[in-house]
Amino acid sequence: MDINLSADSWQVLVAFGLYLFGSVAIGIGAHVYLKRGSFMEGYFLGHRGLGPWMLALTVAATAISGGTFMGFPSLIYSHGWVMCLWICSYMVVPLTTMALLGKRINQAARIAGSVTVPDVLRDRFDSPALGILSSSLILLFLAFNLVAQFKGGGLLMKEAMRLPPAKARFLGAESAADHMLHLTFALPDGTQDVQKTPFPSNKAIYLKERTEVDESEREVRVYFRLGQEVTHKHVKFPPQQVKVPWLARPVELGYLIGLIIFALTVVAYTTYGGFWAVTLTDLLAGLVMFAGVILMAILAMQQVPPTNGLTGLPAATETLRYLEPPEGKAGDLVYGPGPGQFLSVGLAFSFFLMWSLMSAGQPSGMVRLMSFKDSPSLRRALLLVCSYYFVIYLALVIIFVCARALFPTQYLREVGSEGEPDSIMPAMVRHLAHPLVAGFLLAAPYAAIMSTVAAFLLMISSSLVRDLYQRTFNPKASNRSLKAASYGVTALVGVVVMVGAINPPGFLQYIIVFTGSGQGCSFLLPMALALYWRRSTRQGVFAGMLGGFVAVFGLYVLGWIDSYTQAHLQEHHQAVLVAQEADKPAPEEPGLERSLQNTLGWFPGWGEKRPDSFAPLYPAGLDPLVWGLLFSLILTVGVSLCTRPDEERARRYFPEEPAASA
Amino acid sequence: MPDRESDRRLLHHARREALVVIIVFVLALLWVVGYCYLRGYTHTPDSWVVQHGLATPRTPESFQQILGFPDWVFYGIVVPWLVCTVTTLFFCLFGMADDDLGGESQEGGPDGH
Repeated sequence: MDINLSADSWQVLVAFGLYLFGSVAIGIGAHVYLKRGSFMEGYFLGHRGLGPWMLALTVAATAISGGTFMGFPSLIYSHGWVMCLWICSYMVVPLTTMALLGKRINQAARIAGSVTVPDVLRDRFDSPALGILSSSLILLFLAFNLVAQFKGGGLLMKEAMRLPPAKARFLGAESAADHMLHLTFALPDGTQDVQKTPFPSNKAIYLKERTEVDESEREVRVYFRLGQEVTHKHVKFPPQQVKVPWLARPVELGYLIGLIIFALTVVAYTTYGGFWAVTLTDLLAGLVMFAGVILMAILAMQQVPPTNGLTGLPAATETLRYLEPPEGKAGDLVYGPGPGQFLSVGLAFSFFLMWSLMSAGQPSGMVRLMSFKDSPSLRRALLLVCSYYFVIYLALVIIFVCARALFPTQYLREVGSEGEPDSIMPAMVRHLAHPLVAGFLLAAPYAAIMSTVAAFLLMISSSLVRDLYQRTFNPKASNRSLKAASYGVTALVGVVVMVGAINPPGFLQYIIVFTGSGQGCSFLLPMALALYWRRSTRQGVFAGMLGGFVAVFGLYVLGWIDSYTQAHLQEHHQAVLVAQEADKPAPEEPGLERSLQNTLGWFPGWGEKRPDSFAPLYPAGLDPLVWGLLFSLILTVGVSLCTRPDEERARRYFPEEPAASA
Repeated sequence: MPDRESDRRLLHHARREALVVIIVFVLALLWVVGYCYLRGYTHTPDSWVVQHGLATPRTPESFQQILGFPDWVFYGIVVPWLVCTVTTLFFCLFGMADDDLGGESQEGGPDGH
């Protein structure tokens, strides 16, 4: 193993280490605080004592995950200004997440002493079935999402360490179909590895004779001609890899080390410190991220080269105006729908609902709303959060618009043998700032992932321990055994997820979007109606929750089936053409695919071109979440109206109204 | 027994505030998606929005920027975002009522208090 790090990487790691040390210290402090009062309420809710600053930053930091700092920047970098429209519903997120349900859910939780989201629903309707359904949904979604978040943490740690690539030998490069360049390397153990890199634009021509190999940096510089100009890209040697006993394919060494460090720190402090530790690290993470992006935005604007007499952000926008992205034409980076028809108006509408309504429907956010102290805290937190989002998202867009002007082609998504991370964020940080500062800036997204993961870990263990174990199987469990169970389950879940994340699936982005919209569609409307509509019944809420889930899940599954079917039918079509040319009998059509096509072909959105084979169906050009919300609304209201509400419970939660004549 | 009167007040306030949130949400949605679609998307000259005079076809030559933002981003996103932020500020300073959230229930939590 070759783990000599550069001086640069050491400084980044020192800053990182200081940050982690601070987080763990907070965990220990929180553990001491936990000794007061009821263990369950302290561990999962922090004794309902959140003041305005805590509440604000904990809500903000939970919403901001790895995607905000890794996926989102690279999308801005590759798609330009249209990403502003993609993200902009954060303008109403503070209102929808905090003011819509906040006060009422906090009150409802206090009425029955509820600690978790399933608790609230179960108590509101006196229905164990509802508690079990909501716990199971939370468990299912979170388990998926955690794997994705762990991967994000591992990748970031890998970027911070920057292990040198393997001591490989460059064998040669050739251009392949769809404007990709394949570089072949011989690895020390005798095997070969291919690094793939996209052309800077569709019209670029690869200049084979100018290819340079830099052995000391372990990278290859490849040159392209673009009209009159010559540009180049850096392609790293393949990464070092290790064998993991139970996996067929080797795993990148840097990623594995990063993942283990990430998992150990986050699991340790979550298990040990509970809700209070998570909240305090959220506070720290929120402040670091805020300072980080402002600093980066200022530095980025200063670095943009002057264009047509303009400087700063105007110069960057001016550069983007004439830039020709690989999948589009000049102007695509400053207008909608962006390169490659990225954001059609239907999707722009869907994304507006996505951020504003789906974040309101996340149980991990609702649980935060159950923990604030009094309503002035909520009001002040709202004030802080709305200023916070405005600054953070605007700054991110500005930074990475500038990044595109600074590096017009260099960092367009690289595809390595293992699938390279979205590398513009770390690259930009290292370009703009001194390594020590860069370490702190990289710690910000890492902190964001850590706090998201910590919140999810707590949700999972609270689901298992509180909703299933304590409330369903063993209501008389002692404080001591609950404590042991909570620690044990939190740690166990963390370890299981880490093992799963060693070889995660390649379609993580879709998993994150799927779990986000699935949870939102299952919880938002049933919860809102349970809290505000006296006439809602347990059957209605049950049906609405299940309906929202089934609609979203169904569209994703149909999407995968569709991709499979279309790919095979396409293959068959090609084979028929080949056979006709050679005057041979046409091969037989695949039966399963044909029957799928015949039975499901009528479905809206079936067979349409989608960005990826893991993408869901988009009936009428709208994201599954729109259909999920609609389904869940119709079912909750419809079934409630057909069934009888529980008068005694309704009176308890709705003091003012006269008995409904049902 | 919880204080029924304060519970009633909270429910009343919470409903009113939820209604305000929904109204702000719908207005923001219409403004942002509507304006950006008409002013920020490249429409072909024969599409119905152009023929009815709602949108103009946009090209790199007709591009304008305001303070470094494309004009449609400025009027379609930055301005409504600011408006939303200011609305939220006013809402939480003057619009939201302060309510007694009620004490912890004595009968509820099985872990006791």
